[in-house]
Amino acid sequence: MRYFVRKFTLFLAGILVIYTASANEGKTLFTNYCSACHTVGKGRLVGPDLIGISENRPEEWLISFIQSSQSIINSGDDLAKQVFDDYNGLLMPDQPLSNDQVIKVLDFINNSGFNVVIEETAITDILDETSEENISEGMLLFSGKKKFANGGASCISCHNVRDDRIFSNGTLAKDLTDSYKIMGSAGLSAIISSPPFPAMSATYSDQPLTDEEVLNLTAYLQNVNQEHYYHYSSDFGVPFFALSFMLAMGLLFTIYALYYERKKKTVNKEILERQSPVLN
Amino acid sequence: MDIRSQIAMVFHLDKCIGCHTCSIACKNIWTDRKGAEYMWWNNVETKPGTGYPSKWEDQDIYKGGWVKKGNSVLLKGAGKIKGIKGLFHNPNMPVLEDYYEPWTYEYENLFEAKEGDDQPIARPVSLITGETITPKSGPNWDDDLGGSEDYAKNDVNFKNISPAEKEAMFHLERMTMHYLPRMCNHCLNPACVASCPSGAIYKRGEDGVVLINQEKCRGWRMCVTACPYKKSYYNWNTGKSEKCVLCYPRLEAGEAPACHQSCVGRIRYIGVMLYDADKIEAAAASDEENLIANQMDIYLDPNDPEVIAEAIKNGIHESTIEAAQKSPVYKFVKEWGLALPLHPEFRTLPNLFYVPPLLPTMAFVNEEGVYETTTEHFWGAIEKSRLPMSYMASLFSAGNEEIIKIVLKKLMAVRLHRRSETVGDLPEKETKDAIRDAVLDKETADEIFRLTSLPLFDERFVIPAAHREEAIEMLESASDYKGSTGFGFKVPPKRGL
Repeated sequence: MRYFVRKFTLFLAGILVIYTASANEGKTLFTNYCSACHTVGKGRLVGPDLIGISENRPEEWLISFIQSSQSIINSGDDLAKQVFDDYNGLLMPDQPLSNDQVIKVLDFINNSGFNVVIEETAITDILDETSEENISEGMLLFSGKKKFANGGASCISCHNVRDDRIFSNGTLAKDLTDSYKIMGSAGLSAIISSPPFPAMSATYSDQPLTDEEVLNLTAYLQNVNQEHYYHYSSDFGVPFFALSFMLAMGLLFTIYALYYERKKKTVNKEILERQSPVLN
Repeated sequence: MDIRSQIAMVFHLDKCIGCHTCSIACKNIWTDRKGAEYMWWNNVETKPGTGYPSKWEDQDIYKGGWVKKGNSVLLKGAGKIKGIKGLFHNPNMPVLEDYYEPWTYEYENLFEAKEGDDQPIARPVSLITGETITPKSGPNWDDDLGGSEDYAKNDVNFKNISPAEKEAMFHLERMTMHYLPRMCNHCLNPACVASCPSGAIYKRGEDGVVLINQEKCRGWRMCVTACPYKKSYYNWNTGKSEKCVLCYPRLEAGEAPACHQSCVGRIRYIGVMLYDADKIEAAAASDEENLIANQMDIYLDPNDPEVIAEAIKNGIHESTIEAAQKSPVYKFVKEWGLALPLHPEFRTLPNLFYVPPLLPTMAFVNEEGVYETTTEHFWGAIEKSRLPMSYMASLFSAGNEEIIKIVLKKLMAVRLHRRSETVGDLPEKETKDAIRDAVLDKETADEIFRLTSLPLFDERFVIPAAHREEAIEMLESASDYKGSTGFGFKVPPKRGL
């Protein structure tokens, strides 16, 4: 079934590609796949500004990085690792582009230069239009009180946010309280809609989130990050540990001191130990 | 005066042959159960020896009994503050190895082993873990002075004996021993009762038998520590403590306890004593040298009309008073002054009395190295006793040698008198002198001889009627009880009344 779905998706993508290739294929691809996180000449967004990228990196490296950044990082490539570290350890989602398509995108980037103006989607914050309603909707979705339209697992199953309004306890994946600060709305929505992490992408490949849901979740995560809906820090730090350690040692010592006087050995210990054992 | 009745016992140590029949009789009836295998409610020890559990007499180790404080006594090892301090570990109890690890043998193996080149054997198996073990000690491991270097030499009663004296004692031809059968003393001032935090131990009103209520016992084991004779035992299977019940079901049926009945040497006597409960505290708190005298003072003369009147007023049945008048224990303890309590310095006022053994005194090796059994210098023999007087005094009189000497003189006088009567080889004057010195008369000497050597069954065991019907009548009709005994339901049926 999954195989069939994947085939079907590829088929649809193929149609899309054929349809757009006739016009300015590179530009369309860039807008669809890259512009959420990257700009050309307009500075850093979630990912780096891609201006002059082909002069800085070899084409082959670029192709494989765009198709699967994770595998190239895991292969131990220093350059890829450095990029990964520079951008807060944030993985670039794998892009379903063929070699030809990547080359077309790169051509577009190289040719656009300073003059090309990308459509506004690249730099508009998607959260500009959101309201309180989006946020509370996002909270319901995150905490699993409301199901995703396509039936995907709610975020709370694996993630945690420090928000006293919900009983959050997912500990399998990262704490998302500060995710907005690191990635921004564009990065968040990109990652939520097409996750680069193997576990997460497997979870949602068959049950993708709708655009609406992505928006609501992003709005919620921004809200959580900015408003601090928690009253205490769950990390009590070194003093707490030290104090409990001392308390425990004190308790142990008391018990030991009380136990110390106990008659533990037989009065015949010496006699019994001297007797030679008999083999059974 | 607050007169009560107490079942008391006398063990005549000169007659004990150390056969352990009493112990076995008791074990077969009471302690042949899981968790109780290591218990010997009745045991027989060889003295000198460390006993069972090892060194039980050393209260510096086990902290049993009472200590005098002012005009009263305090428990040595238990009490409010001491109890809380040791609440979770009860610090002064014997460990299992102080008793011994009970074991049996794999007898089935002898029958069921597969045919092989070797004879099948029955290996010793622990009754606690079920694993094969090598027995390293037992309840009477030092029987008949076995391993005396380890056991007899470490006898706690040698504390006040000089090393030279002790060394001399252990010379082959001087060495001596006697047996000491022990069981619960059903004390007048029982430390186990006082120590129990659950209030599970009580002294029966009608005959003074000390019992542990198995339903109330919560296994604190304070009684194990508190009993200086170590005669309260913890059952590891039921999680409750147990002790000698003086075969009270037998007593109520007019039978002697199993250990008494089975005694081969007929050393045991049982009977009722009337005593004044008001004097207990003062007697327990008396100075060491007066302990025995003051305890003897507690017991009252059952022939005294005043005592009888008071006793009846206190609800003691006439049949009990009659039994007290015939009691062999009263004769040995009060009339003749021959029997002494074991370790009176524990201040529990035990009701088991011992006639000290004369045997180690009678014969000795003289200057020429001859085993001397003649009766020349008959008092001299007591002084030269093979067991030092201080040892006997440590056992039976809290260190007071005079008390022991008086008893031994009486015993000796009875022997001399009977020898002159039956063999007639002693000068009459000497015998007369002996009886005079021992503060006896011929008639008494004959009586002592009779009750010692030729007593009838009913003279040894004078057990009063239990009058269970009186206790039952307090709760229900005695005839209903009689008719329904042995019938009933464990779970009440839903129908019926």
